[in-house]
Order: sequence, then structure tokens, then C-alpha cells
Amino acid sequence: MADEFSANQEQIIGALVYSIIFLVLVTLGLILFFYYSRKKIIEKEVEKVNIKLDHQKKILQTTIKVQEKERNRIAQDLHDAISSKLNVVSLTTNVLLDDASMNTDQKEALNHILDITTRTLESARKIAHELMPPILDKFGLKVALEELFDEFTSNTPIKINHHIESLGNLDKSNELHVFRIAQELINNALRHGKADQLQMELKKELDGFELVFKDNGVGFDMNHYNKKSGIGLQNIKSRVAILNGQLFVESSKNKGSIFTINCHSYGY
Amino acid sequence: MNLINHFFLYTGFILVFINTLLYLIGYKQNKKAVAYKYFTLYLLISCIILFTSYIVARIYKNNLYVSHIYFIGQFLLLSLFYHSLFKKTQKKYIIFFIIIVCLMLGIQYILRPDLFFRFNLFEIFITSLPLIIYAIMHLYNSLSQNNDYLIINAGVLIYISSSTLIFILGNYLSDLDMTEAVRNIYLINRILYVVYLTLILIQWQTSFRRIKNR
Repeated sequence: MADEFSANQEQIIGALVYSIIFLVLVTLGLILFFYYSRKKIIEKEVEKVNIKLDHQKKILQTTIKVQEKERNRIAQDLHDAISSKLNVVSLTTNVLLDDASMNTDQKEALNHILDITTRTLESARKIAHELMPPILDKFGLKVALEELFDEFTSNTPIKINHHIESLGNLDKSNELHVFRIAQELINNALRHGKADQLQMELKKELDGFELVFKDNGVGFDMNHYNKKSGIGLQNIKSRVAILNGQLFVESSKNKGSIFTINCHSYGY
Repeated sequence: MNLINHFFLYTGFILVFINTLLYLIGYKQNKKAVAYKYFTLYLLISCIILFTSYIVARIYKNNLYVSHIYFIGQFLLLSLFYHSLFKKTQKKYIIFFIIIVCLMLGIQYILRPDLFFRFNLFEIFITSLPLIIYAIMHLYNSLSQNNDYLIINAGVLIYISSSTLIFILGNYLSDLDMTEAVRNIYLINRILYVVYLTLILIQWQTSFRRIKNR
């Protein structure tokens, strides 16, 4: 009898041990289930955000491409439709001025017309030039960049040290992106950085190029840069992305900044 | 076997003491976190109860009435702990549980005061089940947002659920002779308690130590 009781007791305790182990495993399973579900949900969220960011980037890049195209068209139209017609006006006025039968009042009026036409022509040329530097189209990136530097240095105490190698294997639209990047970098350094010494190097590499830009301006906080950058920098980033390149920025307060752009196998 | 039993018993003592000390030290840095306050209080009280029950057992042999303070204290403090972690609608459930449990236990003890000297099965069940529900709710909450105290939560879920099973059979076990098999069950309880305390320690290590170093 006592033996039977003891055996019974052993059985109950054995069952208890197994049920405890079972319970522990079940709760452990529950915890793991929630843990992995959570991980999966977070992964999905990150994926979603990344897709959104990618989309935004693409929109930005397309905007820049369209913008350039539109600028090109406006510059072309300005040249074809306005400048050429104004040239005709100016020529005709000159012919009229040579006419001896004109009295002084009329001549004065014609001179006034000629004056305004010349100024308008000059403005149109300037606008077209800013919209699409013709020199880039005709003489290539190296000459266009050198002209750009001259423009900035001619009337100011700013110094730009530059070493530009010509890149033979860059197509026209990509050349324009590099040119705009350079323009934006210089503009930023002067306007926000208050720099007066700039350095730009454009080196040709085996299957691409490297652009290094340094300034001695006030610099900026890198943490701030990563969180929120202005339209100018955003533009540079997008253009670098269009070129299939990488942008590296080094900067700290009052120590100037260094921008390095590496482009390998752009456009392919 | 006896050696292992003693090892886990004293490891439990040491861990509960260390945990209480660490959470008390970090108390100043985490003053604003209400959940932290309740959890520290919970640790402090469970530390005191553990040592008193040990001493009482040495002197009077029967220390079961200390267990009632332990179960009710644990229920109230962990309820408040989860209360401070939960969202608005979930908080209402906790308040509801606290009121119901206190009411039912109060009535039970008025009617049957003799239950005070045994394991009160109803008490164990009614104070542990809500805690398991809270722990699962907290896990569920952690799916959609970044939640703290997940390691402690895992410990609560594992330890409370399995120890409840042991305590529910406590009356049966305490009537039996202290055979090897019965000892094994208490050993499992001690091991799980050590695991629970280790998880609490890991939680402190991962979440609250960094605040201290800042």
C-alpha cells in the first residue's frame, strides 16, 4: 500500500516536472514569436522608408534633368526668337540713321531705339549665357571652368587655385552636371562659408574622374549636414547621384570644408 | 544534489541583493521614469521578503504566511509597473484587475482567516494570472512601437507562469515528505528564479547603465 502511494506520488511529481518544463518552453516560444514578428515588422518599415527615399531621390534627379533641358530650350529660344529679331531691328535702325533726309529729332529717337536695342541684346545674351554657358558647348568643360573661375576672381579679392585636367570621355550633359556642381560649390563657399581662398582640382582617372574642392570658410557642423542640408547641397548630391558618383564631405566649425567627388564609370 | 540546491538558493539571494542595489543606485538618473520606480520598489520588497522568510523559516519552521505578502505585493507592484508602461485603454484593465483582486481576496480572508497559514491556491492563481496577461499585452505592444523593459518582461512571463504552477501544487508538496523528487521541484523553482533575476540584471546592464555613463 505504501509502495503504491509512493509510486503514485512519483508519477504526479514527474508529471509536474514535465509540465513546468513544457510551460517554460511555451512561454519561451511565445517570446521568440513576438521577438521575430517585431523584427520582421521593423524590417518592413525600414524597407518602406527606403523605397520612399529612393523615389524622392529619383524625382529630384528627374527634376534636375528636366530643368537643364528646359534651360537649354529657353536659352535656344532666346537666341533664335529674340536676339536674332533684335539684331534685325538694330540693323534696320542703322540703315535709317544713314538716311540724310532725317531731322535731328527723328535721329535722336532712332539713336534711342538703337541704344535700347543694344542693351536688350546684351541682356538677352547674358541671360542665355547664364542659362546655358555656350562656352561649355563649344570648348568643353576645362575652358568653361576656367572662365567660371575668372568670372569669380576678376572683380573680387577671392583667390581660386585650380588644376583642371580635360576629361575626354564625358558626354555633354554630364559635363554640364560637373560644371553646375563646381558653380554651386563656389557659390556656397562664398555665400555661406565667407571663404576667400578656394582650391579646385579635377583629375582624370582610369574610368572616371575625381573632383576635390577645398575652401577656408567657416565650415559647418557635420551632424547638422547629415540631418538637413540646404537646396544647394541637395542639388549637388542629386547631380552626383546622376553621375553615378560618391560625395564625401569633411567639415568642422571654423576649419573650412573639403568636398570630394569620386566618379567611376559614370553614365554606364 | 544538495550542493546544487544550495548553490541556486544562495545565487538567488546574492542576485536579488545585487539587483536591488543596482536599481537603487540608478534611481537618481531615472527619477522621471515611473515604471523604473515601481520596479525598484518591487525588487526592494522582494529582497526584504526573501530574507525575512529565510529567517522566519529558521526560527519558526512555518514561513508560509510571508508568502501572502509576497504574492499580493508582487501583484500590486508589477501591476503598477505595467500600468505606467501601457496605453490609456490598457491602463483601465489594470485598474479593474487590481480592484477585483483586492476585493475578492479581502472577502476570502474575512470568511476564512485560517487560509493565512497555508498556500492559498485561489490567491496564487488570481494574483499571477493578471501578471501573465500584462506580460503578453506588453509583448503585443512591443510589435508596433519601441518598448522598454522587454527583457524583464520575458523574465516575468517565464518565471511567473512556471512558478505559479509550482505554488499551486505547493500544498500538496508540503504535505509530502521531503523526498528527492520534491526537492527537484523546488530546485527547478530556484533555477527559474535565478534565470529571472539574471534577466533583470541583463536589463539593467543594457538599458540603465548607459544612462549612468552619459
